[in-house]
Amino acid sequence: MAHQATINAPTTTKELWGGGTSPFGASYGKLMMWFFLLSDAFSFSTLLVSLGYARYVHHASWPVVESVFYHFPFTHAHLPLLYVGLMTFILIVSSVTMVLAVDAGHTNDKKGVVFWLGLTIIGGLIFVGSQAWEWYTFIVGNETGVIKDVLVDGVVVSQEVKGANLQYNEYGHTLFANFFFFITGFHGFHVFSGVVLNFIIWLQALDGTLERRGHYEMVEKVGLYWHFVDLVWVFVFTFFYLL
Amino acid sequence: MEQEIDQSLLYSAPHARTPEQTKKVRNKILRITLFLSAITIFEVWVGMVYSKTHVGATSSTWQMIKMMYIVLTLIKAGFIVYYFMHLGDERKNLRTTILLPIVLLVYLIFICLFEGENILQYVRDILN
Repeated sequence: MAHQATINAPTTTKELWGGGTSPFGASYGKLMMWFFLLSDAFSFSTLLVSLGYARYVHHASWPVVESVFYHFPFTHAHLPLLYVGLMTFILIVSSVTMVLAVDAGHTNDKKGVVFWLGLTIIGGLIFVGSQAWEWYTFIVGNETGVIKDVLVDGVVVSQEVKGANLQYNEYGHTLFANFFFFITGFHGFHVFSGVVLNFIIWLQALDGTLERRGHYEMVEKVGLYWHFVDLVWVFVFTFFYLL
Repeated sequence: MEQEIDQSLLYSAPHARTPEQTKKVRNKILRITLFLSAITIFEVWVGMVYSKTHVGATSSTWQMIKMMYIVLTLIKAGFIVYYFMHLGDERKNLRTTILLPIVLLVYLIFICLFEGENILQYVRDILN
C-alpha cells in the first residue's frame, strides 16, 4: 500500500495541482472515461429533447405508445409495456452483476471477476436480443394494416400501410418510427459495444493479464461505461415508452 | 517529481477486506437492487392500470403521473450514478467536474419549454 500514501497525502491546492500526483485522485483512463460519458450524456439528451419537441409539435398524430408496444414473446396476449419493463429489469440486473464484478476486482478476486463479468455479458446479450425482437415486431406490424395517405414518388397515394419504415408507419406520425429507430438504435449500439468491451476485459481477466498487472482497474472502467448504458436506458424507458 | 508517474500507481482500490466488510458491501448492493427493481415494477404497473388511454391524456391525473414518472426516473438515475458508478466515493473536485456541466442540460430543457413555441411559429412563418 505504499502508493496509497502518495495519493491521499496532498491536501493543499498547491500540493494537489503542483504536479507529480493526480488532482482528482483518479488515473488518466478512468478520468477520460468519465469525460467521455459526460459528452455521451449530452448526445443522448439532445436526442431526447428533440423527441420531446417533435411530440409536442405533432401531438395530434403521435400514437399512444402503450398501444404500440404490447407484444410479448411466445404469446399473443395484450400486455402493454410489460416486455419493455422486463428489458429494463434485465439491464438493471446486469448492472448489478457489474457492480459485483468491480467489487470482486477491488479484492483481486479473479474467480469472482470472471463469474460476475460473464453474467453481465449474458445479460447484455439478452437485452440486445430483446431489442432485435422488438425491432422485428415493430417493423413487421400487425396483421391488419391501416389505410393512410403516403408520399410515393412525389405523389400522395392512399394505400394500406403495414408495420414501419423510415418513410411511413401504421402507428402514427413518421417521426415516431424515426425516433424509435434512432434512439433505441443508438442505445442498442452502445449496449452492443459495451458487450464487446466487457468480453475483451473478461478474456483478459480469464487468461490472467489483469492478475499479472496487479489490479483490476480495467473492470472498473468498462463498468462505468456499462452503468452509463443502463442509466441512459432508464431515461429512454421513461421518455419514449412511459410518457 | 519531474518525471511522469506510472498511471497504475494511482489506482487506489482497497485490496484487503474482512469478510464482514464484504458482507456489508454485498448487502448494500442488494438493497439498492431491490429498490431500483421495485421502482421499475411500480412504473410498469401504473402504466398498465392507469394508462394514458384510460385516464385521458389531458386529465390532471395523467399530468400527475407524468411528473411522478420523471421524479422516479431522476431518483433511479441518482442511485445508479452515486452508488453503482461510485461517484459518491470520488473526490469532491471530480464530482463537481462531472455534475456541474449537467446544468447546461437543464438550460436546454428550459429554452425548449419557454422558447419552443416561438421557434415553432418562426418555422411555420417560413414554410407559409
